[in-house]
Amino acid sequence: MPRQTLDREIHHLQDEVLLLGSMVEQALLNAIDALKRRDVESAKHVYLNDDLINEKRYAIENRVLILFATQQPIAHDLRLLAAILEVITELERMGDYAKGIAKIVMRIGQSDIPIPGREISRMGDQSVSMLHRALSAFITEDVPMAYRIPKEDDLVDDLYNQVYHKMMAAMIADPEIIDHSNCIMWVVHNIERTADRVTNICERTIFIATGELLEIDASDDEWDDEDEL
Amino acid sequence: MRPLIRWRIVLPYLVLLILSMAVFTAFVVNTIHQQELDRWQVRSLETAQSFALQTARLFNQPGESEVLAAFAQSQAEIYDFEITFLNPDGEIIASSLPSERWPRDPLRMLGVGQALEEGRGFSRADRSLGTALIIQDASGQPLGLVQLQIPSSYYQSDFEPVLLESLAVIVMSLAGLVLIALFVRDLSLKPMVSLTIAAQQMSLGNFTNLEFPENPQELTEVSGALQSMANNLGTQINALTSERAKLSAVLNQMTDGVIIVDSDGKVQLLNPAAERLFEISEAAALNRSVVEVMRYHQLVELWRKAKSGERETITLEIGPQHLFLQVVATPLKAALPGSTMILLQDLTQMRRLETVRRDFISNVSHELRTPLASLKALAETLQEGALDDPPAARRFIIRMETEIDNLTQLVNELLELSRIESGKVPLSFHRITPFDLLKPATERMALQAERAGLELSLDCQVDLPAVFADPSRITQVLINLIHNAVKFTPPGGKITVSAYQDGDHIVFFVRDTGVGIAGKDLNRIFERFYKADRARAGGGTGLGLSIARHMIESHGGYIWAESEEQVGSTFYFTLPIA
Repeated sequence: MPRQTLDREIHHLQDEVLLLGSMVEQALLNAIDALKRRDVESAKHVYLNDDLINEKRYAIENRVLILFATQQPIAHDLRLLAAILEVITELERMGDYAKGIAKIVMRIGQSDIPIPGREISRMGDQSVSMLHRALSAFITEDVPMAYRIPKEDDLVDDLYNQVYHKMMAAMIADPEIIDHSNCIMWVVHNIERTADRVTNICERTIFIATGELLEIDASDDEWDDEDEL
Repeated sequence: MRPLIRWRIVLPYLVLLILSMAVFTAFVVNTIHQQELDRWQVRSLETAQSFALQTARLFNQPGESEVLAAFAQSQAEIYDFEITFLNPDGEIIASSLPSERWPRDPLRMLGVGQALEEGRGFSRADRSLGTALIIQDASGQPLGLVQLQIPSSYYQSDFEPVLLESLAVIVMSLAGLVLIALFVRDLSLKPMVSLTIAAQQMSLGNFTNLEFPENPQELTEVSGALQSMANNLGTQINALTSERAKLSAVLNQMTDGVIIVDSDGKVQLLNPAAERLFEISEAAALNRSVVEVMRYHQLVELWRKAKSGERETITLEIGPQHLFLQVVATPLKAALPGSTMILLQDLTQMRRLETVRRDFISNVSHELRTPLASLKALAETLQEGALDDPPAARRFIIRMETEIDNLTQLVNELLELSRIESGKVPLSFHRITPFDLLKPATERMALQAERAGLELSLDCQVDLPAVFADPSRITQVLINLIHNAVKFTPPGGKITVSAYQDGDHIVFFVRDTGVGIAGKDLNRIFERFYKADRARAGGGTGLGLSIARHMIESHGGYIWAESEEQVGSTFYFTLPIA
């Protein structure tokens, strides 16, 4: 009986993690879409919806803690639950990145200074796709996939560098758009950080399956972690 | 299994048979035995009687014991059994037995006790039987007793053959009966066996060519029922199978995704379209939670709402692939209680077309608005007094004419494009050599190129194989391409027009040393209204290349461009050799 309760609860929690992941994915895509379309209303929506993400994160955390207290999970179950705690923290932080992007959209408003929309879209789509698959790997404990996904981070980094150089050139050419360009840099930086955090989810997947906690070296962490708009 | 059934039927009969036989045998044996004994009783009594008559006169005579002993001896030799004479008090007078074997208590000799009381006695022991008789004188006074002791071997030798014979008869008849029983059993079991085989075939799903027994009466009813059941089942299963095949064909071929989720939120069905949408195989998705399969919280929410109520519909864009879906979740209620069907319609393509259409309209409006705005401005200036200044008015009129020409050109090209796209442009195909196609176009553009300070050269072999084309249309395409080259090439540049053979096609190209086209624009320059560099392309309508592409494609050829920024561009198109 207790065993069944634990199994059922764990399945339920996995579903909840996926739902949280889906909310974060959608928030990121919506924020980037709002940026491309200069849609302040849509950005506001993303900004406010971040509360739902946070709520869900705390709800999951609560349930995990209750399971710890009542079921005393061991071995694989223990690793899985501990990993869930870690993953929901990562997801919440990614949600904050989406919120940050939304905030920037609200700040630059209807300005018609061009942005490198295509690169930003591709970065966003790539990061969200990595996140989506990383969560699949997390649930199915697909270790080979968890090793593969962080390698795709290079694509995001390349795009990041492209945008960086473009913005630099634009700022040098027209110092009046420095503020605007700086905002755009924050956006791409947030997206880049999201992709980096996907690596952490992959690390947790490997941890659940093998019990080994290792660092996948996916990208150069030249930026501090604690930046958030 | 089958032998067991046979024996189960046969065994009780066999046991019953053996039991009754045994009882019968016991009875017969007993009766024979009894009859034999009775016969011996009579015989021994008769013998004793004759002895009594012969010996009566010997009693109460001197030396009676010797005389009687002699008689006993002689008779015992003849009959081969023991003879003893006793006095009425039961004491032995004489015997064929030697005196040392005389019994100590003569009264306990077989038959003696009974004879002393009743006159005659008959008794049987294990190995012998004895008969005793009182011997009387003429007046009936008892003189003594005669006792005959007959060993059992004596009469059993008569009885045993009878017993053996009857036993043999019994055993033989029993064996015969068993054989008959087995034969009859096989005969009556045969329909049962074929019925069993038929039923087994049915359980394996084979409902045709079944063999049913035709007798006996009792079984024909069962097999008749079984046969009609087989027929009904066969028809029903066939109907269901074909129904199922139809349904799964629909499910497999339909372009909309279908997912069925049970009340526990587990996926029970996923068709190929849904497999593609969610990038998961049906095998991997079955019995997994709906969250794991669909992975989009909006869809899960939709399912939750529909599960507990009515049909729900949502239109949304999901995922990094930016799929645009219309999703309908319907509770299945009576058909599958608790289950929900989720229908996913992929509208991505349709929305893309919608976007293209919207862009087109906004482009057209934009292109129309610019010349109209300058016309309006020019007209207003004239109204506000320019008319009074004839030279200025003339200038304005000329500019207005130019704008109207531009508008006319735009409208004409739009009309032409729409006619080409809907396939309404009649093409008059002729055999014509590539050189003859290139020459007039180059000649017509020569003056324009010269004015722009460019060198325009035609470099084409005269003997290339002829193509099949509408010369006026292809010339129009070539002029358009050369015109573009002139427009985007700085003075002093070079434009080359040429053609070569590649397989069964002729490849035409116009090469310039102009500004070139950026890689990201290269794929899009054939789109309607697409202008790589709006500032430079100001004069054009943005429809020329689009018209060129449609024209070449309706000739069965391809058109494409290669370019390097600041080095130059080359536009190619192919036409099939006639």
